[in-house]
Amino acid sequence: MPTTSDLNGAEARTDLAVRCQEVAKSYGLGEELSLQHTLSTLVRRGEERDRFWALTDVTFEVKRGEFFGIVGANGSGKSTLTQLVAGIAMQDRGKIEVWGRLIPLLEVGAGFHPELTGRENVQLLGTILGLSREAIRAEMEAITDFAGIHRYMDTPLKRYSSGMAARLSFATAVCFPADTYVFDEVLAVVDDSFRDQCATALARLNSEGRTIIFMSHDLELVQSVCSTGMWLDRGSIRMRGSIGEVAAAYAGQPA
Amino acid sequence: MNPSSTSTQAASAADLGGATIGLVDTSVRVAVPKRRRIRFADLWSSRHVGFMLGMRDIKAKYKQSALGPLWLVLQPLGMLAAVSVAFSKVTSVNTGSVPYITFALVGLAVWTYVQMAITVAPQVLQANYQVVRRSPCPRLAFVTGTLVSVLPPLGVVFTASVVAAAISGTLSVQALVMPVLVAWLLLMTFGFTLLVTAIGGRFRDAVAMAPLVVQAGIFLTPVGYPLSAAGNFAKVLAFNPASGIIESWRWSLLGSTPDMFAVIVAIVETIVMVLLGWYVFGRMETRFADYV
Repeated sequence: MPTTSDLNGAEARTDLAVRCQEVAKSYGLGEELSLQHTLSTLVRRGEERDRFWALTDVTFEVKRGEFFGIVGANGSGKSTLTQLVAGIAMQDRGKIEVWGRLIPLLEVGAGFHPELTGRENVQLLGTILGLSREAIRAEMEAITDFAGIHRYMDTPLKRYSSGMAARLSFATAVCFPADTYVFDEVLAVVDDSFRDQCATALARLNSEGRTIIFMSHDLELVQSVCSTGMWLDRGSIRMRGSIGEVAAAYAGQPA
Repeated sequence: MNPSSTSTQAASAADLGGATIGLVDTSVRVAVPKRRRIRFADLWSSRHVGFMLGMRDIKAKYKQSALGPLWLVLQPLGMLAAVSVAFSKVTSVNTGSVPYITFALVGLAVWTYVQMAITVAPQVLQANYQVVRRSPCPRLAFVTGTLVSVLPPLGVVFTASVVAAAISGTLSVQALVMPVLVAWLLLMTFGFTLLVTAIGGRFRDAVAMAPLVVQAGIFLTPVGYPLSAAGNFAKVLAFNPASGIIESWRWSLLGSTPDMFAVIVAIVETIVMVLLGWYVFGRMETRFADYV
C-alpha cells in the first residue's frame, strides 16, 4: 500500500474501522503546467495559483461493523474523501486512521486492463489489493458466480459490455476478504437485478461484522442499505447520524 | 472537533454482536501529511504487484498481433542489421579479433533495455491513470513493473550475445562476472526509471523528450563501435552511463580492454541516480493521484 503505517500515535482500538481527524485537502485550480505559465514564472516569481478546498476540517469516525452511507451533492468532497481513506491521495492536514484491511471500489473497473481477460484482471486487481495468489485463486469461483459471466472469464475485457465489466468489478471487490469496504457511486451503471444482488451481498458482509462505507446519489438505495451516515456539503460535514435522519435532512435541504 | 460529528450515532452492527469476528488484518494504518511516505521495505512488499503489472504489459503488448512474441527476435534482429550496416560497412569500425556481429550484440543487449525503459517510464503513470487515481496500488510497483515489462527483449539479446561470444571463442573466466554486470544494468535502469516515472507523471515534457534521447542515444552510446574509436571524444561519451556498462560487458564477454574512466563514471552515476531517483520519486509520489 502506498501508505504510511508507523504506529506512532495510533491507538490499539478494535472498535473502530476508520477515523478522520480535522482532515483537509486542496487542489490547485487551472492548468497544472503550460509554456505560458513557465514563461510568466520566469519573469515574475512566486505567483500562487488559486486553490480549491475539496475538504475542510472533516472529523468523523466509523465504528467496526457500521454500514455507513455518505451523501452529498456533486463536488461535496465524497470522492476526495474516499481517495484519502483508501490511502491513494494524501491530505494537506489532519490524520486518518484505518484499522484492518480496506478494499476500495472507487470506480467501476478501476485497475482493470482492457487487453487482459476477466480472469487475468481479477488476478491483477487482487494482487494490487494485497492478496496472495492462493487467496485470489480461492475466490475466483465465487467471483465468477457472483458476476455471472462464466463464459467470458477468458475473453479480453475490451469485448465486455460495460454492464459485464461493472459486474466483474463489483464481484471482485465484494468477494475478497477485508475488514472494511468502500464503495463510491459504483452501482449506478448496473441493472436493477444486479443492484439488488449487490445490496444483498453487502448486507451479508455487514452482518458478518464487516464495515461498509457506501457513497451514492441514490438516496433510496442509501437509505435501504445503510444504517448510519453523514451528509457532506462543500467539503465539510453537515450532519452525522442515523441514515434516516441524514437522508431526510439531505432530501429536505433548502435549495 | 467538528460539532456535526458529535451528533447522535445510531447503534451499529458492531454493538449488536458483529464485533466477535476477528479482523482479516490486524494492522493499523495511520496517515498524516508527510513529505514522503514510501519506504525501502515497500520495494519488497510490492514485488508481486510489480511483477503482475510487468506481466500485464508484456501480455498486452503482443495481443492482437499476428507475429506476437516473434517481435522479441525480429526487433533486435532489425536493429542489429541496421547497426552493422551503419558502423561496420559504412564507417568501417574496427573491432579487432572479435566478429562485428558479436561485438554489436553485446552493446545492443544493454541498449535495448535502457532504450525501452526510457520510452516506457515517462508515460507509465499516465497510462495507468485509473490505477493511480482509483486503486491503492503501491506506487513503486509502477517502477518495478516497468523493469519487468522490458526484460524479455533483454533476455533475448543477452542470450544471443552470450551464444555469439561462445561461438566466437571469446568467453573466458571473466564471463563469471556477468551476473553482477547484469545486476548493475538493472540497478542503473531502476535509478533512472524512478526519476523519469515521477517526473513524467507531472511534466509531460519527459514524454516528448524520450524519443529524442532514444534516437540520439543509438549514436552517442558505444553500441555499434568501441568507445576507444571515439578518440578524444570518448571522455565525453563516457558520461553516458550506458557507455561504462557496455564497456564492462564487453570486457566480461569479449575479453576487450575496458575504458576504466567510463566504467568509474558509470558506477558513480548509478549511485547518484538511484539516490536521486529514490528521493524525487518519494517526494513526488504523495501527489501522483492529484496531478496525473
